[in-house]
Amino acid sequence: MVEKMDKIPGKLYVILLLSLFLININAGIRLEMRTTDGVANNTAVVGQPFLIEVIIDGMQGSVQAPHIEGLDKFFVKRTGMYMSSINGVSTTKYTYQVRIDQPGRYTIGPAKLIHQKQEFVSNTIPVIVENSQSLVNKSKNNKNDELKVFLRLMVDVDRVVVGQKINATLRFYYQDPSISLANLGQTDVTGFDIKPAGKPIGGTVDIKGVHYKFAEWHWEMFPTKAGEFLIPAYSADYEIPLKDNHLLGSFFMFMNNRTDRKRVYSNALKITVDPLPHSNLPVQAIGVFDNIHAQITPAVAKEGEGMVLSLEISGDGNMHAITTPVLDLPSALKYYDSNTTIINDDNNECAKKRFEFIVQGMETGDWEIPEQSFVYFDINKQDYVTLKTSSLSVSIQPSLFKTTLSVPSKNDVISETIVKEDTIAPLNVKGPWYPVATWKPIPWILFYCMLWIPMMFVLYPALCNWSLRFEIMKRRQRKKACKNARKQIIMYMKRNDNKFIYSVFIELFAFLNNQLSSSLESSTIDYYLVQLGFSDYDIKEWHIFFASAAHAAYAQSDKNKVHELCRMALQWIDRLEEVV
Amino acid sequence: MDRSIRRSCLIIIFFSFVMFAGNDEELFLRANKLYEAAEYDKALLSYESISQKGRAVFYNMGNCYFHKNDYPHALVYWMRAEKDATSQEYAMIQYNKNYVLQKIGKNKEDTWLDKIKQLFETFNLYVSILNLQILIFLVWGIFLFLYYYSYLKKIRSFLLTSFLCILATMLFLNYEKNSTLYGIITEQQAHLFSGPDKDLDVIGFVKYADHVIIKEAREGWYKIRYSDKGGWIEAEAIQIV
Repeated sequence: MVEKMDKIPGKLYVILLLSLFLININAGIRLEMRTTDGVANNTAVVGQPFLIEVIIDGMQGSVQAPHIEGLDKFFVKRTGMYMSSINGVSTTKYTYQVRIDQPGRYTIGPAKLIHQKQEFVSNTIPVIVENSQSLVNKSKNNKNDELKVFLRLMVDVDRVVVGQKINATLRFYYQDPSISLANLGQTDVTGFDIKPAGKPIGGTVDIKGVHYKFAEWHWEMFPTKAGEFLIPAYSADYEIPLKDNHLLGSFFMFMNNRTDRKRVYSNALKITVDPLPHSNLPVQAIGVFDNIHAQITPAVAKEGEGMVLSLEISGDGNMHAITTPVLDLPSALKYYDSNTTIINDDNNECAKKRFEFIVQGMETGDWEIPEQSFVYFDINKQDYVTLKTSSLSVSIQPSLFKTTLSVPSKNDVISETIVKEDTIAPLNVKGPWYPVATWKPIPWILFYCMLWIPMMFVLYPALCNWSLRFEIMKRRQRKKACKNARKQIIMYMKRNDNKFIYSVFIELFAFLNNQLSSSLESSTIDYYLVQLGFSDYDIKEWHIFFASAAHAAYAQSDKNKVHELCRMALQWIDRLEEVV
Repeated sequence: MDRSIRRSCLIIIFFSFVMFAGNDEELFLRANKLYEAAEYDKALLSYESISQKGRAVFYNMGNCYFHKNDYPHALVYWMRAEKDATSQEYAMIQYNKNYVLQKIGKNKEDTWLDKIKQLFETFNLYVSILNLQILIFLVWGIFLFLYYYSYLKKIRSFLLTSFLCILATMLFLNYEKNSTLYGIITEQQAHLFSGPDKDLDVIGFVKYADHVIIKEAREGWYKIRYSDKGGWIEAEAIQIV
């Protein structure tokens, strides 16, 4: 009985071996779906990769990769191939990483393989693809599943226009401080221009009462075409130190790092990119821009010399995508692109892009650089906006070394001719370096007076002659002549001299008659006296007086009668003065 | 006592004047050497340090500014050096001025009136205002004397009158040049305001390195006459000759 009992397990063992042998001999192909952690699962998250394994058993010789139906609809990457062979019978495993971007129920397979003229067909796998949110909700319900480590992908906007900046953030949350991040998996994103991420920033945050540490990365993305895009999940490989209380644990710790490496995936994000509205203007950027500023230094340059014209655009937008603008310059100015720099401010909210051009004046004169335009699509206003610089003035002067660019020859060789011009006059080394004292000019009023004095000397007689044209002036002149005659007689009277009384009267009558004294006759005086209204008696009296005066002048006169003759002369002058 | 104090004061003043003069001459010579070594900034500083600046200092400062490509200031200093300049110095200044004006594209063809004016200005180099005044007074006296004594025949009269007219023109130009205040625009495109206030209307622009006549000055502002236009300009935009 005991022997029988011993034989039964032995027989069972033989049967088992035979059956296993038979199974092995029975070649086949099968499909399996696993998570990236290697756990068999039929549920996947939108944008998160999962593994599809094709296991081909019992084939003789090497086996080609099978064709899996329905797999070409998704993002597929063959990640590995494993093959083992025992006695010429091989087991081959092909692994594919698959990503599905739309939620739903899908069927992958069957995998088909033709080997040694025999077709092998595998099973099919139903795959349920769900949004990450619904999966999170499920995980919440599962009390055993604790989200101690997770990765989150975030963007500031999920609906943009082509070229609009999207700020993306990837945050790795963890609770255990002993966790170390080993690798951050990059993902293939189509339809976006992705800028390199900056340095990671660390921090802590409380999520629903749970304290987490995190490390985050920021980068900018710019959609390059319109449509709906899915940013697939990013992966992060992290390591957790193993906690074993083995006696030789510390010894093995030196042998290897004794850590467990795990992978976590972020959520995927769907972004809708709208096309830009139609515009006839050349659109240079998308975003929100403050201003465009133009500056040229120096503003005065010699002909052929270079000036630096800088255009500075400040604002928030796709700075990297702004191409070098085409300048609108007068024909006398030539320009060359020189340098482009992007300056970010501390908060990284507003950046500046500076374009530098070398401007060369080809003709002398004053020139104006007109306003330069910058057209962009304002994401706040959802419309095109044109910014303009102010116009600039430049002065091009003839150069000391004049560089003239000749017309390019057939060989396109530009020849330069240098013409040297004269420079300014040399330094004054002789001086005087000190101010030289000079005579001050005569004050202008004094100068005018000095000019008028000799002029008056000449003009006065002429003025007097001219004034005699008028009767009143003539009368005044006559009275004045009488007064002068009186003065002379009084003077002679004082001298007790009557010799010159005759000549005084001759001179007086010559003046009154407007005649020369030499041509004056006695009859002329009589006629003049009659005209003045003197009577015959008066004329007789005059003759007596005039004879006495002539006698006094030409003959010996009585000294006692001098005074009387002078008195008579004064009386006659008084009478004449009254009537002239 | 008073006499001794007065005498010592006079001695101190005399020696201090001699010392200052010596320092100024040293500065002038040092500045010339710096200029020859093409160190124009330092040369300018030395020239600026000269307490009593003569026309040679102004002229050399103009040359320094020229080499620094500061043409408006070069013109200003050369114009300052023009006052009481000898004929040789005047020729050098005119050459430099024309050269700079040509350089900045402001040279213009002289009209016949300008040429006559320049001719008279050349004559004026040899005679001061005082000399001209005395000369005019003498010629005028001769003219009147001849007239008074009827010696003024037709030819004499014509010659004397012409000579008087020439002297009077020279005197007028010399006086105008000495009494008028000029300025040079130092800014690229200075605004010409209707009044001495920035809030008032801009009636035009004044071009760089242009030559204007100053009519009036107020705090921070100058009233100028510029190409048949009058207006106010900010003091920073202009350099007075």
